[in-house]
Amino acid sequence: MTELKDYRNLFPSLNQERGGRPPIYFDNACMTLKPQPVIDAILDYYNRYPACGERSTHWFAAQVDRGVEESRQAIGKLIGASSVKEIVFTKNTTEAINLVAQSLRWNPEDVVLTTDKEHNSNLCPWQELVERGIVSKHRAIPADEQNRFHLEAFRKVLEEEGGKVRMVSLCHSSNLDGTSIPDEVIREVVRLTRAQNPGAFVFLDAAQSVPHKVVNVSELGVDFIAFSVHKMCGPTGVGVLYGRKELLNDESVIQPFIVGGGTVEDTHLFGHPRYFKAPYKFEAGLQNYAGIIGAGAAARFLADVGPERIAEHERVLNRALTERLQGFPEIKILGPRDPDERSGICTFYLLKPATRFSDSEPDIDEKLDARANIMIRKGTFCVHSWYHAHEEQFDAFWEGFRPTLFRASFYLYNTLEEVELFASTMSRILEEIADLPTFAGG
Amino acid sequence: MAEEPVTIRYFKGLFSNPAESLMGKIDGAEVEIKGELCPRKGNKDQVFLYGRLKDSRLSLLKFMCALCDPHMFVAADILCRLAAGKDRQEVSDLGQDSYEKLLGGSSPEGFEHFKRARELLVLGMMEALDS
Repeated sequence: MTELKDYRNLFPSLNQERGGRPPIYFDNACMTLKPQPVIDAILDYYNRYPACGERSTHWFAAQVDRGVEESRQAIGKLIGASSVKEIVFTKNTTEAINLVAQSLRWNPEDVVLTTDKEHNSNLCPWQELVERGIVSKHRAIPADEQNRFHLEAFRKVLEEEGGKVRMVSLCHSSNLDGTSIPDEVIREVVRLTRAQNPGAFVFLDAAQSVPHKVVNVSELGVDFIAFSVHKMCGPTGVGVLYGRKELLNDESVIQPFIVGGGTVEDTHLFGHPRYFKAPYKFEAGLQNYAGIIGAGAAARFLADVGPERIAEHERVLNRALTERLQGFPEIKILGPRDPDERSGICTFYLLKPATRFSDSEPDIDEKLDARANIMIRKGTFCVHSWYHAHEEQFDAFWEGFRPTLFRASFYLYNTLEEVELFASTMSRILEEIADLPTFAGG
Repeated sequence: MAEEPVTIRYFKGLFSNPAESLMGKIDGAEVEIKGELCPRKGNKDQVFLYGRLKDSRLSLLKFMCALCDPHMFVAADILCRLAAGKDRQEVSDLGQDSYEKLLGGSSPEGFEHFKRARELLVLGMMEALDS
């Protein structure tokens, strides 16, 4: 078996230097780097058979069709789907969630539940349904004191809604702080959801889980999951919706909301179109064949590496980084204290009202990038709603304090040496701004 | 590092005396506006200004910052102190002398931030008075 460290050599973007130093890429929760097999698969499509699939039958088209179906198989196998017909290609996670939100046949009294720290992509689609009067309510399940999914709070909300919950859509692993909902908790969520309403569904936003750990949809028993290929070594512009096949083909449950070319078996000038079976009826228009074929290569690459090895490697890196950052009194880490509960994500903020002396001076992330080629993310990571809902937590340090969040996120090619360089560079930056006030109580 | 001692000194003073801090939010404030004060950072940099209006004059003012540097803090703080009791025209007329008097010295960079904060507050007052 190939050692994990040897896969690093397959990422050409890591084999370059700026200022005599290699890149240190810690922005993996946003986008991962691409290995050579994925790049080769995409180039192969454009070099050898850049044709249309699903329509023509010639030499090139046959290769496209084969490539797309092999991708579907590789992705289905990666997530434990029972059939390739359960794999729908979309543009990204966002589109996959919107597809379900817009395509399900809702009842006006339906209620949608999410966690209280959803990415905007798993919040806005449901809020829109409420705004347009398509469902009655969206509720967020409050997390526990360490920002983890709280099963008892979920149970309470279900009881309060008295059987009206039709959709439970949860972030499987949070892009904010890396916390995941354990498998046994998801199975209990599925059980409770169906018990209160047999027509209800459980959806996982798996954008931060499928790339980083073993996810088996059949064992979890969920109805839908969505994830993006660009976060799992694949190209941009491809996402995946998994849906149980009996649901995807039940027209009393779901009907495609984007229709047209590629989705229909037959049409007449009058009457309703006759659509293909899933997944094709959900894949309207000419598809991103290069991207889909690259997605298959990415799924095969991840299967070869082994999701369980990736998860363990990220835990090792996060333990090391957490230990170093906990040594800085100016730094507060978001989420559970135990790094093993935060997968490969370490989000933190500075307990300082300012992180630089002047607007003309680079901020923390810019200094890390300029000095050591360390790339991290700054901002609210599309989880504005969580930030606003927790402003009191920041007020506890000083009323009106609204810190900038910084996020380091790891992947299979990152190393302990990179973590150490990050920590030592942070240490020097913190020394430079030691003269700026630090709030007590971190 | 473009450190300006007078601004940094004022900034540190803000955090050594919590009782006098104007950081915070005013619920139900007539004036409530969000904007950017730092020329280089554009839309990444945000300040929130809140003010109570009575008879077209500001009474209590407060501010909150996200992604701040000391100039932005200090500009917002000084503006909130100077604008209390003033109407829209008087706020518009607040100049460099007033700013630097409260600051305790000269800071051209700081005054640039102050001017942006002042324009933002005037805009917020216009919106509140027109509504």
